[in-house]
Amino acid sequence: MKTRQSRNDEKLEKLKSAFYDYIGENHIDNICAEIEEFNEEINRIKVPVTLDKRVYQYIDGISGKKYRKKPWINLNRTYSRVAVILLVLFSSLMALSIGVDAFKYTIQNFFVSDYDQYSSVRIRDDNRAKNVEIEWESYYYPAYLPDGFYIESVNELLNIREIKFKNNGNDYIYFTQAPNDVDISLDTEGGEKKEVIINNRKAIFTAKDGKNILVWNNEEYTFHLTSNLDEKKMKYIAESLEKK
Amino acid sequence: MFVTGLVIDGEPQRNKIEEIYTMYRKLLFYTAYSVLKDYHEAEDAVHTAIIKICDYLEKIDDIRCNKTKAFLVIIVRNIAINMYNRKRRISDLHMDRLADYEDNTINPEEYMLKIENADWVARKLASINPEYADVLVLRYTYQFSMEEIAYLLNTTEGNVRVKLHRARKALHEIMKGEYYENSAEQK
Repeated sequence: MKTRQSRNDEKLEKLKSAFYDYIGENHIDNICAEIEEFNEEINRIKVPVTLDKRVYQYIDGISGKKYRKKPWINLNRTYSRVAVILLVLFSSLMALSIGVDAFKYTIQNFFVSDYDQYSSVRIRDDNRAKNVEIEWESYYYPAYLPDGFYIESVNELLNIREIKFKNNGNDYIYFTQAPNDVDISLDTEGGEKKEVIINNRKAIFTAKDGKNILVWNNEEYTFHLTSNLDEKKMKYIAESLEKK
Repeated sequence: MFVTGLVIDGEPQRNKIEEIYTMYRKLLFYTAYSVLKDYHEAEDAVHTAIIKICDYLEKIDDIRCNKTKAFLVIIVRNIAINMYNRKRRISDLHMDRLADYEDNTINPEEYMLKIENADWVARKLASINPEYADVLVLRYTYQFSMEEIAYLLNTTEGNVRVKLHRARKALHEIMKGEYYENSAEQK
């Protein structure tokens, strides 16, 4: 049986805990009020692209590790065998083509990388498009683009500016910017729409037939991003816009 | 001991941390940078905070609510402060005894009376040292254990105990009027 004193201490302890909790709730409100006060400053800050990369890679890495491990070991074995075959083929081709002009160009585009267990052979595509120069005066451009993307073309018509990015695979990013009062029609009919947030503003993300469309705006411009990349990457590109 | 990343197993959890980061990345970076004044260090602080938060995603119900926003700020701010202190070899563990602070000189009625001015008391506590208020809120409002707080803030349990002890001591002083009577801010 507890003494009267220890019961009183217990009750006081409970009261103190409740009091601290209440003070804590007020501290939370104070922090949020402070955030509101500095909201403009917070929105102006540029988050380093390297940080975004690190965090998204971390999230992706954790989720995939468990499932990828086993197939990856098997793939490594397969790669070793394929690489050896390719290396033999490559050596034969080299021997055959020396002195034959017709083959010279192709052979120059072969690159060999040596690894511990195998050699990797790849062909460089010299005919790929080079980055197109942008000659506009004031425009928005994504500070982040996934690796391998280059500008395929740049167009401007009636205040609507479009930059088309591509990589050497089949991926594409079409980025459009237009002043807020200009109407642009996008084919989103029948697509799966949802609301997302880009730089603390509401945006619309639509997925339709393997094509994703992201529409958002800032104080002066409306932006559209159309791509076959996933939602995360598109949001990441959208968040990274910088005025040039 | 906690194992990083084990709980972020399903798609919903993954989406949650992604949404949290996308929504609050600027706030997190701003908070860390305000303490460290260094882009690279601030980047490290935010990255560490995200790793820590990943392990407690189940505690976050509503991503947009004030409680979540404040929680994120508290974690990244304290990680940044600890990084700053570690780098400059500043230690504040050496002075106080670690015994729980006995504030039994305050009777229950006084707590009830101070509830009215809780907002001011919280501000006062944060102005004495924001870390005190942060540790107090993690312990009593978010209901984390000492061990969990130490993990989240990337510090030792001893450090957390000292800060909580000091937080209660400071609150006691505020309650007894040491800060109360002399402050122009008093309501």
